[in-house]
Amino acid sequence: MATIWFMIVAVMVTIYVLLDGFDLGAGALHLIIAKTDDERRTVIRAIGPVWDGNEVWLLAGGGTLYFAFPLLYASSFSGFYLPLMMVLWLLMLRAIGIEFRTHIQEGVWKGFFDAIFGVSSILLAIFFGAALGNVVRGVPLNADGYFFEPLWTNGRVGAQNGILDWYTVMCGVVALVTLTVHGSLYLANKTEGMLNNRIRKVASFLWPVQVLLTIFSLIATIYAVPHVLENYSKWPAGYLIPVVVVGSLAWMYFAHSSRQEKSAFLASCTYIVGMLVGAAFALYPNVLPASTGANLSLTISNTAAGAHGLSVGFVWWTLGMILAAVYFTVVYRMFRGKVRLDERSDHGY
Amino acid sequence: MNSWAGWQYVHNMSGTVITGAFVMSAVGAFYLLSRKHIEEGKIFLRVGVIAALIVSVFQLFPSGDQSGRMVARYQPVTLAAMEALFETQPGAPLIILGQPDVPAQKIDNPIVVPKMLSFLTWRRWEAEVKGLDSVPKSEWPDNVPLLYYAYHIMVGLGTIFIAVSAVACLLLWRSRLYQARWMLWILLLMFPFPYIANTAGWMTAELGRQPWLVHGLLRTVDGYSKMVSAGNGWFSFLGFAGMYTVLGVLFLFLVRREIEQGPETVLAPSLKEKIAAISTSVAEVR
Repeated sequence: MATIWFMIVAVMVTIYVLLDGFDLGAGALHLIIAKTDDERRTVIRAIGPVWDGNEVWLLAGGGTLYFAFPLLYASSFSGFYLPLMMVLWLLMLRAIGIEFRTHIQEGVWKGFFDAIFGVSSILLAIFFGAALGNVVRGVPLNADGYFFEPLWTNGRVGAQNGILDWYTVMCGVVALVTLTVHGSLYLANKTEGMLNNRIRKVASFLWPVQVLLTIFSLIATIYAVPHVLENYSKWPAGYLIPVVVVGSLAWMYFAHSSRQEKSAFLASCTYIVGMLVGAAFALYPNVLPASTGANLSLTISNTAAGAHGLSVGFVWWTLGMILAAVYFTVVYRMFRGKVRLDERSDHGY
Repeated sequence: MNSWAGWQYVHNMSGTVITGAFVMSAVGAFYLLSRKHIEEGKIFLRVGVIAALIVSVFQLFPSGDQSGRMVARYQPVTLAAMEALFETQPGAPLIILGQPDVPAQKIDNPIVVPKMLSFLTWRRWEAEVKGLDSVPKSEWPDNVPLLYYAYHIMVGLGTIFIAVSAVACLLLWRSRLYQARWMLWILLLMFPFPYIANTAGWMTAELGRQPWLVHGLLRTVDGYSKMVSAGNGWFSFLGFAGMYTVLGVLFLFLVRREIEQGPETVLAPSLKEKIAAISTSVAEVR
């Protein structure tokens, strides 16, 4: 049962990255690709009806983690205290940027809120990448299963690591580029005209960067965290995952150059799923590895909630997921097609 | 299902409806007093005061009453601290006003209703109500005076809400509300108080449950993150304080502007635009 919940949490995090990923990417591109007020309104409208729903997956993922692995939740939320607070502030600022922009129409403030939206989106993408980097690399857990990481120490991957070292910063950059590509491919589906051309150019420019970073991050991970390959040698079927990642990059290239934007976006989704499943596969059965010795790692068995609770929770989780699936299907169906400013919007973006 | 949870939920949600109702009637009163948007102002007032009366009464009975009896049944010490009842006694009085002196274990300048607390809690005038002396001091909520004041502010304001909305409804019924400027002034000035009452109610819940995180199972001292230093706690506290200050200022600014603009300016231009669009298209066809 704990293994099922490990997969559930992994799936929820993946859905979060897929969904909120594109609106974070759109935010990261906002200042660069959208020049006029109409273009900026188009970008915000393209994510308007869905961005806050997408963020709920982060909340739901955190809630599920709390429910299924309470000790992991206790340990990681106090250990990652500072970056979590900053993520909260950034999420708040980003919402302020999106929502207040439409309410305060004076020109000066529009630019101000655009900047808040753009910068907070960029920082969030980097933070989420660094967070994943921390989980893969491991944290300095003590014998009680707790830790506290300062924001940075000496920048090296070692026993005294901070949140940010060269490895996790690299993960942050990978996440930023990945989500920016993801966001640009999403926006390519949603926009037309000059804006669409500019977005497509960004996607074409970033594709080789993404390929290089993928290769580099793979090498860096094997160098910084050698035991990451253990599961792959145990279950060689896992080697299919990097094949999927490479395949999705090729798919993305061909789909994008032949202007099949939907297909290119799906390729980007596949890439993200591949990368995250690859990380989860390498982690299992750990949920938070210790950089202070493998015997101190938090695993699914020493952090999971009681068996009865997990079984009962599975029923409720399934019901909740059915509701969420219905909601998201309806919203995205209603919102399909290109965004046009002359159409009425309930949000006033 | 926890039988307490249902009442707490209802109590909380009707607190939000009271807030909405009073804010709505305050905006209506503002429009009538400043002689603009009169028609909308009357609608706001009518809906606002009727909703305020219904929900304020409901908030006292049964939702508040039941919440109080739940506290008495499951956490008698919390009730004793909320009411500043130091001694266990039959026929316990209800304190309306007064300042608790915790070291001396008495109430200064008390105004009380004799035996009322016993009746409200157990529906019998002579019933025994447990006081703070029923448990050692280590089991008391940490800040008895603040809890007492938070609770009394909530209940006091709740009573005022019933009185104000009842008088307003009476005036509405006699068709005098829209002309009664004194009442409109009261309704206008009422608008911050539901927010204060809600906050006081929240403080009552959070202070009242101390020293426990999970009553009887986990103490607050055992529940906080030991790995997070006080310095880091201050960092996040100040950060959130700053963030909410910014949000609060933006909120007040936007709400003020919305109220200044009034309800019709939002609708009218779009209607005008529609008519203009139709007339141009008709002209084009011609």
